[in-house]
Amino acid sequence: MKLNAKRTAAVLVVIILGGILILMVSGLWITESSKVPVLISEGEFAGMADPGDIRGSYTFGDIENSFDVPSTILAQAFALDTSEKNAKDYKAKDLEIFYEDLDIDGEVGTDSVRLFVALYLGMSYEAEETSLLPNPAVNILREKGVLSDELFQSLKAKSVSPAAVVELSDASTVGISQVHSSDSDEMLIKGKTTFANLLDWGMTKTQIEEIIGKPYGSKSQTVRDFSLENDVEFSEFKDAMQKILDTL
Amino acid sequence: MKKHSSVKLIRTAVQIVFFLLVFLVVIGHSLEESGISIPFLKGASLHAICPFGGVVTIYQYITAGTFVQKIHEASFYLMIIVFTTAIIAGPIFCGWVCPLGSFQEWISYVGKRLFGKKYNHMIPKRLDSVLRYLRYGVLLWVLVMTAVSATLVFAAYDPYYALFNFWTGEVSITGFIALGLVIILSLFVERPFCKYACPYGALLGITNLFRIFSIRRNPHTCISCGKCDNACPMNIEVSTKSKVRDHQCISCLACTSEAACPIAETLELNTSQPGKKEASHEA
Repeated sequence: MKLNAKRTAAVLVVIILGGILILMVSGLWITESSKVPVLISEGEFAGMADPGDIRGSYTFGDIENSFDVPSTILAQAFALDTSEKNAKDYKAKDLEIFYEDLDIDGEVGTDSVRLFVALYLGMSYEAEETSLLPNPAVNILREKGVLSDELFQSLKAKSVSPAAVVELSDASTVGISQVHSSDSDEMLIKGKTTFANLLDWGMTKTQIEEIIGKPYGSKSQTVRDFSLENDVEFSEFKDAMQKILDTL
Repeated sequence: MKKHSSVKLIRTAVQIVFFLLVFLVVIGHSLEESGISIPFLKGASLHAICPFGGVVTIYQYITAGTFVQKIHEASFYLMIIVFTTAIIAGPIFCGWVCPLGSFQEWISYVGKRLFGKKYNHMIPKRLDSVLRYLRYGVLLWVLVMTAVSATLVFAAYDPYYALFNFWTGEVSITGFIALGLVIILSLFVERPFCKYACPYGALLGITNLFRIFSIRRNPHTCISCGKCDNACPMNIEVSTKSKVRDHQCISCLACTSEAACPIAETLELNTSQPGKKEASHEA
């Protein structure tokens, strides 16, 4: 029995394309992750979804569904702008692009999301040595009370300032929330200090809103403009905020 | 002459179909990533439709029950489908389907124009015969490193990935270098990546030892003209063998009586020796 060119072509088309067609019809042709992470099989967290299985293609919405970590918290942790794009729609792998211009030894990417989610849930996670967290992420974890002092200091020492990303790249093309970079290192509240600066320096959203008495609007708004809009003395906010900043 | 070009025509048509199919699926995926969807075109990442992805994930699948990141069920089933074709007719996937193989072959037309008969005969035989086993080293490295790291380590060096993703910004510099080397070498050597570096070709090449349909030569009717040797893109000396078991054969049929061989029913992809039936009838 022989195979000539025509029969060979037919065999290939029938087996390969036919095989794919059968797989498609039977629902077995799966070309993307089911977005359902594997479960931890043993230990204290057995039965819970494994943050180590978070893939780059997972959206923050997928992570919210599987791990119960709100997508807004994730967006806030990684300083992503949610004014034009919903927090749920960001993908873990997007971070690599947003933070790629940062001139640092390490990266903020999918593994950073795994680390954040694990710590947020009180789990331990052995992140890659090069994985970093942005400042707001470290501060959220600290506020949640899931970090020991030692771990907080170690994460803080290796954390990244999202403001630096905006300085280095065209803020309009990245998803990082537009943080004013001025005075970013001084942690001194001045007239041009924005809410984003405060978050970047380590204050949490809750701490800020406790002082100003209500949710702030845009993160890029200056504290002084906000105080003027609300008929409150700028110095009132400034002093209370500076007090917290001095402890960080 | 007509029969020869018909073999080439059929194989080229199949190659173009699969090349375009992969290209459209990857383009569809790129567009979907940007929020644009095209009717009737379901995109998928190149990893998801690569049968070699199924091979590299076997270890993780057995030990942890999961796939290596970026690999999904489709790759696994494709691996089984391609193995089926390889058991039937050897690495037919390499010769007829693999888009990177086709790409190298199309570049070879330029090389053939430039160097004529010298094309594909520039590397000293001794060196060439040693280099042919390099791809098994690559295969071993890829399997071990993927098992250890649980990531697609070869993607960073894979010219196939670079070819179909060069616009995405996801290709590493090493991937571009590998693709550049493949393009340049293809001007001198036919299918250089397949011969010396392809880990999947190495694996499929093993099926040449036990495939059901083999390239078989009838020594009684063969006139030893050597046309089959010259036609073989993988430089196999077909004219000295009654059955081709060479691990590099890609079942392209370029050597057969349907193409290069001038004598009918002398070289065929067959389960038994060509002309055997007729010979036994005559006897």
